[in-house]
Amino acid sequence: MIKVSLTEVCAGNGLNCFSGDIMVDGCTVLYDPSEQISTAILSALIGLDGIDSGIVQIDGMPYDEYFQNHELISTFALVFAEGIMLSNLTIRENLSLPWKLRFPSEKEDKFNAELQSLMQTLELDCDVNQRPAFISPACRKLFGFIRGVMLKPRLLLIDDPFYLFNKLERGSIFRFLNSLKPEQDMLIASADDEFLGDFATHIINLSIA
Amino acid sequence: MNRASQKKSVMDFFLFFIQTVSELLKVRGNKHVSNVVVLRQIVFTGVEALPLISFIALAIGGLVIMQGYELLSNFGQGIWIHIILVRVVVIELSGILTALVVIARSGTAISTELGNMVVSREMSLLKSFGISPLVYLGVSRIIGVVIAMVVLTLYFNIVTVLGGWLFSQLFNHLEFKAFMNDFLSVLKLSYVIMSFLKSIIFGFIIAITASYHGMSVQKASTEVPQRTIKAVVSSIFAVIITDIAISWIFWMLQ
Repeated sequence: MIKVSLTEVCAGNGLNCFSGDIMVDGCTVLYDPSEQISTAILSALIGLDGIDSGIVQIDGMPYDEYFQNHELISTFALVFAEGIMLSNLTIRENLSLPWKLRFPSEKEDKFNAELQSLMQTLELDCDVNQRPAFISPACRKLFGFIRGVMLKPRLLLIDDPFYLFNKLERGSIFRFLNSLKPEQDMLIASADDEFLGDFATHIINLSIA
Repeated sequence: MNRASQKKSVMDFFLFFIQTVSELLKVRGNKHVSNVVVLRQIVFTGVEALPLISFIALAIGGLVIMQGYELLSNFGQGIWIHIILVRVVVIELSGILTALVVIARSGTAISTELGNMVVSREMSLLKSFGISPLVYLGVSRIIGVVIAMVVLTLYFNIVTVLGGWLFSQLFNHLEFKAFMNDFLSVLKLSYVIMSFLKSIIFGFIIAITASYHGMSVQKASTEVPQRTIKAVVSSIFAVIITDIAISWIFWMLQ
């Protein structure tokens, strides 16, 4: 379980702000039809931007103080909505770069086994030794999910899980996230109704915040 | 660009420079410096530039010998052609011509690649791993470019001297050993040090300027070519000014 307290965390235009506590024990969904505040919250947690415009506390500790004793990569991993990958590296290198930082003493075999297993689960069949530019955006996003899951963070942040996917792929990723719930705490930002039902442990409806 | 934004731009570059140098000073043990990025930069900047550098070096060696021989022959001093080769090529031309090739190939490539990475939010991805984009992309590339620049400059000197000897055969037959003996008798250690020093500084200038401009792209892809042009112009200007300054300091010291 992780408790995140946010004070005046605002979206890019500075007009939509959020203050409140987010307790994540299992899976919490930030339901945000505007998709602005939820993305700003995830960005603030991962330390991208917006942190200056608001105050973030993790387990009651100020953000900077918390990360003096903890690593960002073992606390949060963000699955970007656009499935971003580093264009100068192959897909394998893209996945192994953060993994090696997260698990410096683990062997390459373990990485390969985990990658293979997750690729099978998500029915991904493509050459991981090619550059990300040579695969479809949906495939890149699936690898983004794999990268996040392989890091085994305290809290997996997922921005708009259905973005870039067709109906079949949406079903597949929904089942995957469902199977992931018992072993991984997740904070999902979405405007899709599928995440409103029984899926989440908690739902924070930002449309009425 | 108005005066205020010019001042801001200079300040931004100064801050970027300070940050980069401080990261370079603690590069040992910094796990965010990527060996993959360094090696790929050496291959791109160094190995892949060898054919172009070879062509330019051979041509320059030949032209210097041709022009120099004609000039010195008027005074009956044709045998001193290797002095011109040392003074013109090793001290001045090798560094500056290699730098221009590196600016044209690698400076533009670094600036464009980093600019596109900003636009496609790849910098944000690195930050999300807790990796500093400045160290992972900037410092790693600077190290790669400096290493490649030193090797390329040395290679340029060697090929020019060999090219010069080959062309000198057109005018008068000179044994390679005798040519090299004459060449080495004129070549001072201080000239070699100056050439080495220039290649390190030029490599650093090119890479840091290209990295700064690439990372200064904000959001739009239209900024990328604009920043690349600025990187090229600034690099050429900075390299020539530095070349003059280093040469002047060396002459003052001698």
